[in-house]
Amino acid sequence: MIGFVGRRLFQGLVTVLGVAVFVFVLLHLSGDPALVMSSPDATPAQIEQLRTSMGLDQPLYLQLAIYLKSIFLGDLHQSLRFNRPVVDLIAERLPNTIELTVAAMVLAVVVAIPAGVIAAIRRNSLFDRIMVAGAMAGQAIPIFWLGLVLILIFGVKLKILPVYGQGGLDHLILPAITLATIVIGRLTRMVRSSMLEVLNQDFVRTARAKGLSETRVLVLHGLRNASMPIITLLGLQLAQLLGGAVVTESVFAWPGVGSLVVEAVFNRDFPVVQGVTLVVSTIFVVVNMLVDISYVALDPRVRLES
Amino acid sequence: MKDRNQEQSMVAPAGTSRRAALRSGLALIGGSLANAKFAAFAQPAKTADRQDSLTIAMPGNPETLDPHQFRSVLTASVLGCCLETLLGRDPDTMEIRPLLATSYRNIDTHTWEFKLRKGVKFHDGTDFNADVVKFSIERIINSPLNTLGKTVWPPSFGQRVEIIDPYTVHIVTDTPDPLVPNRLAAESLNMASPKALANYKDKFVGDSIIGTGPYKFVEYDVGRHVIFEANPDYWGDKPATRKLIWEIIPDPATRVAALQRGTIDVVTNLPFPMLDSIEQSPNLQLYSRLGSSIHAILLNTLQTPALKDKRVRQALNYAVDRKAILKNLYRDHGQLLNTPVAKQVEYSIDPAPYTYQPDKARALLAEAGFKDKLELTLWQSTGRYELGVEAVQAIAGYFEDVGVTTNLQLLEWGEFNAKAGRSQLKDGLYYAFVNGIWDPDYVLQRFLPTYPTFRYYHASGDLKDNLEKYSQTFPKDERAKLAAVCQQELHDEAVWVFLYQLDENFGLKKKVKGFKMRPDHLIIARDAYIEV
Repeated sequence: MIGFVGRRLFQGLVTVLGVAVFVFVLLHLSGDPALVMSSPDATPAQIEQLRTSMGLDQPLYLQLAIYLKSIFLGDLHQSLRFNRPVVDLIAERLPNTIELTVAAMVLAVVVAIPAGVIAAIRRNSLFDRIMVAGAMAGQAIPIFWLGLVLILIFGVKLKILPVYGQGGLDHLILPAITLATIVIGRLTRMVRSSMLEVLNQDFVRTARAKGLSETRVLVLHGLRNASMPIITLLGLQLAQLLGGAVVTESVFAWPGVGSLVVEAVFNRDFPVVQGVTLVVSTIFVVVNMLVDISYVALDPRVRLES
Repeated sequence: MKDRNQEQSMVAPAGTSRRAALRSGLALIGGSLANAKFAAFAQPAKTADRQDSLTIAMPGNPETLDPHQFRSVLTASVLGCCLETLLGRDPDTMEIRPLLATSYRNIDTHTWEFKLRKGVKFHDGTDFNADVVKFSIERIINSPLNTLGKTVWPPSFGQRVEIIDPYTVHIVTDTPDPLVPNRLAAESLNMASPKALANYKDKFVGDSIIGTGPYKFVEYDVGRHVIFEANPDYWGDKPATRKLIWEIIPDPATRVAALQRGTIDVVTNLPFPMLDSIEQSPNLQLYSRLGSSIHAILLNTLQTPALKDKRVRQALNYAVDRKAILKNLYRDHGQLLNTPVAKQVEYSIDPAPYTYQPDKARALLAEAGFKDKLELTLWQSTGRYELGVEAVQAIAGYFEDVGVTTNLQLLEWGEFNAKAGRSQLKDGLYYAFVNGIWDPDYVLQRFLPTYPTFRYYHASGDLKDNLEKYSQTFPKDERAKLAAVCQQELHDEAVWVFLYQLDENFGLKKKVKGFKMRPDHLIIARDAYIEV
């Protein structure tokens, strides 16, 4: 087990470094931030002066080496736009994104797993059809539209929930529902199909024949065996949302990393884009590693292979 | 600097006493100012009948908190709550008014004297005096920082500050500059505390604003808000509301929803399609004011052979039904533009417009030898101008209608702006200028062959002479005449496809009073309050 985790950690480190180099090169190929930050009336000498002050006049390999070295020292440089350390900006925003993501994921799990299980048990019933249609709709609804409709109904008409921003639990409800909707759609369908596959297996029939209660059969034998693809999907969704739910954050003026990175991309704020990408890719790697470890915990066959 | 000196020698009227002419003009300027009674901008605040705070929603973070780094007028509006310039402008008439300078006069063509207000302190306790003026102008003009002030007042003027006494400075320029007061009234020339910026002479500030203004900086939470509180020690009239909050809400629909709900008092950057939702709401009011941003298609007459022909350029002007675009896209919230100078700017003229005459456009194209032969590429940026892509699509349609094959190209704003400034876009590009010094010179200069950026049309002959002369002329009446001649000629030359000026729209609660946008788009928040 320790060897397995060690190997995954090493692979993760290589992945993160690869991402850092890739993003660095891509960004520097995308254009000159000195030009974006200069007035169109700026003279070439003024632009060159700005380029020098930002260290952009150095050869690309040298800039990359300096950047990689600073990563290891925990320094993600200064934001070109905000004149503040990127680490501080991310540290301010990431907890907000985590708050929203966790709320959305909890909501999605609480709704989608029972809905998927019941739909699988009552296959082809009216409930099943409604669940399947609802799941499809959840995936198909444009997220910005859903967010605005929720704002208009609960924020403007009924005046029972805040329209925007981050604050107490009430501020979390509408963005979490908006963000959870798409995950609920995907997760319900995944739970339903996985359960359908498992419920037809011999070991389930055996469990029933042993006289176990239906709840035990479904939870211990059904859901546990169906959980691998569900956990994979949950892990991917979690990592994706932690990278910033750009549209939801924008609609609800939620100050997360998604809106930070979008603004940074438009302003060619290279250090912020690089810093956020690095943090997000690290989160992706860590979440995936946890998912892999959970396989080992859940499935003895994986444990033997590893 | 060398170029400007050469220009000066070229425009000096042969055989006349230029000094005498200048003196008479300066006397006019000085006289009008010396007699002016300098009232402050706002009425004293009464707090019993008004709410304690005012919340304004804007679409994005301020670009910076640095007094000299910003580019956008929205950031200037936010920082303007805390920061002040030597001179200000009346929010309605745009007349120059005293602010941190109580008076000024022109001593000679190279020297302006400014008397400074006494008893003014920065929010960090630093005294405002001549040292501050010298420090601020040197930071803006002479430091390696990329400041907007360098655009508004290019270092090539050779400007410097000479301290005469603690409350008198002389601004000396190597090149005669009749527009020194205009430049010192621009927000990019904010006065800044030397103590607060002791470690920031060569780098930008990131976390606080120290000014002399009516509001004190309280907090900037990136992605959430900027908060100000009234400065109890302000030298002038107190602001109308004690606490001012600039909330950051990126989505326009959410901004309007927050206004409808009542959590926001003022919404900036109101999109045209949302005007109805404000107008139809009984508790809200629409604040619309004509902006001075001049929208046009800049024609690359230097690189596109067909566009060297005046008839072709005129044809393109006659081809576009600007009234229809204004009505259908912008709900008639705008006015036609007929010269490169906005209507509200001093010395602007309004010549007979190029009306929509497609037959005349076809005839002019045929006369120039381009009947159904001309192919043009039109560039537009994304994410900058509201409905700008739709507008340029309509314009391309009008061009096609008179037989000009038109290819549309879209570029992300940053890339577009950089290329536009470096004169790399041909054959035409959609652009809008805001006049940074509130004088025709800001735009007219761009038609001179010596201008380093936006090189799309080079004036020659009389037009060039007049443009150069205008930059160096001090007497107001002469400036007015020259400006009129230059504008008329640029209009007749059809140097651009002149489009329009658009209204800037804001959504306000009905109870909001005193809110204003200056014609140069600066939001004047200090006089706004909510009536209880």
